[in-house]
Amino acid sequence: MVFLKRQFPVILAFVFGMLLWLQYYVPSKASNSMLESFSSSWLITLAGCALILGVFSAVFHHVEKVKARRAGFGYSLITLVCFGITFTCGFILPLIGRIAPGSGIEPIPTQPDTPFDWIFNNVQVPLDSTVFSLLAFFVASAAFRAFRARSMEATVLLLAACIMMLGRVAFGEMIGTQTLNLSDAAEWILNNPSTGAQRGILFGIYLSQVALALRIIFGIEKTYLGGGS
Amino acid sequence: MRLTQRILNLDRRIIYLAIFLCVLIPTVIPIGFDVQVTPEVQRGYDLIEGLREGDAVLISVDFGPSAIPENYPVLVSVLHQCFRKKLRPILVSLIPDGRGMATKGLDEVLHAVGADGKELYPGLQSGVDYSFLGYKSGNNAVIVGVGQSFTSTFPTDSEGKSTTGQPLFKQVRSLKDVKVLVNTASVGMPEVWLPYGAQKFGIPMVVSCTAVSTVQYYPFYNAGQFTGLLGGMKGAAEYEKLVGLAEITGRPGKATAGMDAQAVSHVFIVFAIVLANVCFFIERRRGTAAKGGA
Repeated sequence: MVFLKRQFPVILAFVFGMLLWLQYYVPSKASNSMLESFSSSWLITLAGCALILGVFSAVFHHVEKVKARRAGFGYSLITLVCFGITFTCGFILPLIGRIAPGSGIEPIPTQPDTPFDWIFNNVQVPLDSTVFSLLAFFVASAAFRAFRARSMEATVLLLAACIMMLGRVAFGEMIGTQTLNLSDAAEWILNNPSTGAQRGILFGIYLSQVALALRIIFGIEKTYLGGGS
Repeated sequence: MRLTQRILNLDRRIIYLAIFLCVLIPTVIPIGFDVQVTPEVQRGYDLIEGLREGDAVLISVDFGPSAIPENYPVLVSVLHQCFRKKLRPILVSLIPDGRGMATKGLDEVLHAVGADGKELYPGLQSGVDYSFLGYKSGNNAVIVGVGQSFTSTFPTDSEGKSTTGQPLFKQVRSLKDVKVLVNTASVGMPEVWLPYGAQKFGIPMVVSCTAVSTVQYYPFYNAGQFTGLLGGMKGAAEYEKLVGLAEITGRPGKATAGMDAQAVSHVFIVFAIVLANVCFFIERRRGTAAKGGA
């Protein structure tokens, strides 16, 4: 059991990690055919399984919460009911439609007039948009309360933010001269200091991703196997 | 309490109300600000505009309802541009929400009517002139898959029809046959499309992202890895202007209409920041003076 739990996953990670890494540098037909087999079946199947696992995990979490009547279980109940309705409309009804042609139920789940799309367009879109639009209010309030030029760094940040906010709207083109206005200043910030800083951050992220991948492939990093015995 | 102190301790509900009015008034009474087209957007537009009739454009719709104001107008504009130029867009989605957005966008453009009330693109057929392959989980696995074959990665399209026999996929077999890759994304999908799709097969890529993500994509744009970069609602409004959406449909695009509210809101936020800082410095000076006096 220890072999299956601890060593076998490490061997799998090493074999498949090395195989797919080396494949990227071998442009032969056999190599591409192997990649096609991996990508069109194995990887997508695995991703699908991970998705199903995620759905089950979320459902069980909320079911447990409702069963135990833990604090906020009402929200879990709403989540489960919504999940049930959406799942029925998006999966069960089209499936019935496919099993019984002519049953009157649209077998195609992507037409704009199916119940699933009705839920998406009339429930998810307005809810999601509403929650996201609240950001405008919070950002305005937070900027008013917290954005202070207390130090040199904070002043630079504040000035850059103001230039960006005005430079990315029509007013930016009105403030300044024909040859240099706030929009141009905003463009300069994006193309120069911001790009430089972002590039540095991205290099750091990608190098650490390479390092992490190598650590997993060579079995140095094992935290993904989980803790305990 | 002094005026400056009152301003610094302003009830947040007043700020909320002000922002609400800044959005509401320009939406109800449009100002009609013009947008200046930036080189990032112009290059993206020119790239698609330079394609020949029948060329395939892959559009990856990777945004959800929260990014509708920023990404959806780009999707609609690009589809209008594709159908106007008789290009063949292939839509895919790598996030679950993207499927609904792509369906909505495609439906809107396919049934769009011009200023004269006539249907703009009559007779377009799925699988011939365009295709929507739907959502598939797996991110880079899906990209690697379509790099090998569209039909084996997506055996059926979003309507459940087999892709194998479709005329479009007889000519456009894989990502190698696509001329331009457009990624409308509210999540980090452009960074996945770039190495596994665009760079691997040498396909020029245009990215439409949310305003907050724009900054992180400038290094890719400046390095030439993205040919075009459409940041936020402004990028979308610029694209609508270039495509001529107002002339095509007889009404301004959604991003163009939204830019008025965004402009007024930004000015208000800058004003609020400046006002708060002025009050802050007055108060600090008073505090310092009081301490010095004591």
